[in-house]
Amino acid sequence: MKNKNWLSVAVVVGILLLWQGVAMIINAHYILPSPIQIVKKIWELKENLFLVQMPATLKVTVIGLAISIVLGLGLAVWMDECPALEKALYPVIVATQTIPTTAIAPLFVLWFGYSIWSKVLVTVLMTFFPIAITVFDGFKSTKREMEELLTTYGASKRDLFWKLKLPTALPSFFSAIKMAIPLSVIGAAIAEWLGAQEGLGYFSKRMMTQLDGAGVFAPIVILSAIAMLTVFIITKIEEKWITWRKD
Amino acid sequence: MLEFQNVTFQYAEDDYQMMKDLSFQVEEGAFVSIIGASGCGKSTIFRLINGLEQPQSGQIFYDGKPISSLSHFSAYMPQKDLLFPWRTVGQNLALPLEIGRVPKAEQQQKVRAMLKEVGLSDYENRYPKELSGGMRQRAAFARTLLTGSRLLLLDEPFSALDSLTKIALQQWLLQEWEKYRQTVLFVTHDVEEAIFLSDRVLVVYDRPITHLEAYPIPLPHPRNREDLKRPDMQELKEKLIKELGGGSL
Repeated sequence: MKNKNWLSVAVVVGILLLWQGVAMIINAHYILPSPIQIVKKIWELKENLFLVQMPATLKVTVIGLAISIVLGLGLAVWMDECPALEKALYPVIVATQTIPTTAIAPLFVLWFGYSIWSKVLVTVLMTFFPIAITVFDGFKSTKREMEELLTTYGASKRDLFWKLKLPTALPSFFSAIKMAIPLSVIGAAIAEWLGAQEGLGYFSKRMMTQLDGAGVFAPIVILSAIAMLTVFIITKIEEKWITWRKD
Repeated sequence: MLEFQNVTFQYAEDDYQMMKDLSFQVEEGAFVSIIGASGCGKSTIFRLINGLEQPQSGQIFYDGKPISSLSHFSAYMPQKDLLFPWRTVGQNLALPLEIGRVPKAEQQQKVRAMLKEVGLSDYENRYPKELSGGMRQRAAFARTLLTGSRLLLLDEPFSALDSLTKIALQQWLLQEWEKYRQTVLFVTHDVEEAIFLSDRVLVVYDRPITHLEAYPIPLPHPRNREDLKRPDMQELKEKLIKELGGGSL
């Protein structure tokens, strides 16, 4: 395990060095800023980035993700309870995943203006469906034999859900969350690119108009750092909670 | 105690009948094995008793009442242990009690007593993955007993175990039964196991199943494996194996 960690660190360092080298040869920061220039930029703009733009983006991400989790779980439970609903909705849900978010997001800005809700809606659109489908598949992976065993004990539908289906789907729920976090960050950033007055995505776009390459990259680096850190935390929680899985 | 009256059954997806006009009885406190080749419908008999399937015609009675009017009077133990991996051994045993809405304190007391009975007291807070195959099967059996039913339906409970563990558990099961004398219906395809454990062996020959050929086992209790060496038992074993189509390909 330790060996593998070293290997990935080495790869990342290698890529950064290569990037730095290429950037220095090109020597045009508005086309390709070097990693050092980006870090410098983050430091220079630290107050604006961390105290103004980041909280704005986080607000969108957290609200969007929370709505998605509630709606996604709700729909998964509902489809599992009612096969007719599953038949009706499942293909529609899959189809909506093919809508390019960048194309539909400007429409939301038209509807909701520059308020937070146009951005939340984009985030929800990107994360709601993966959560619903992953958790639904988790419910579906319930073993029929276990369901029958509980039935012979006299279990009600409620018992089956709480004692069997929910625990069966728990690992899928964690996978869904881990998948949804980066998507929600991307969703928020895309929405901000397309129409906003604050946020990391908005800031990145503003720097673009000023041909400030390092300024474009700085918020992006922060965005991916947020996503990676959160996924890491969730993974740790998952490891603590789901100790019963077979090795 | 348990009676099948002219039961006919066919799975919806099959184009043949599983059983036709099948009638048989099991007396209170008896240990009865049902043997037959794989896929002959032995397990279907259990699915009919515990209500997972409904007969097309005929009726099944328990203590003189049709089973459709009763609920969970039988305790079913499937071939796989089906312990829930996310529950500890203790929590697994508590499942039938939880579903029966038994108060928490009483649950814990019953589970502890049962764990002691099956020799798993030290494993109450362990997860099933930490147990050996034999231990898991004992835990599953303990969970079955905790349903409180007087009729146990055991569906090839030892078939997935290695032969030494299997022998140990057969002996253990027999001791448990000699102590509590529940009615046991035991499905197996192992002739020796059936003879060693039961008072009566019911053999499934044909499909659809129209009758079960009954063979009494005149061995006294308590039993031990030496009894199997008796000439009449050897003879019965050979006879059953032959009748089940064994020994030929």
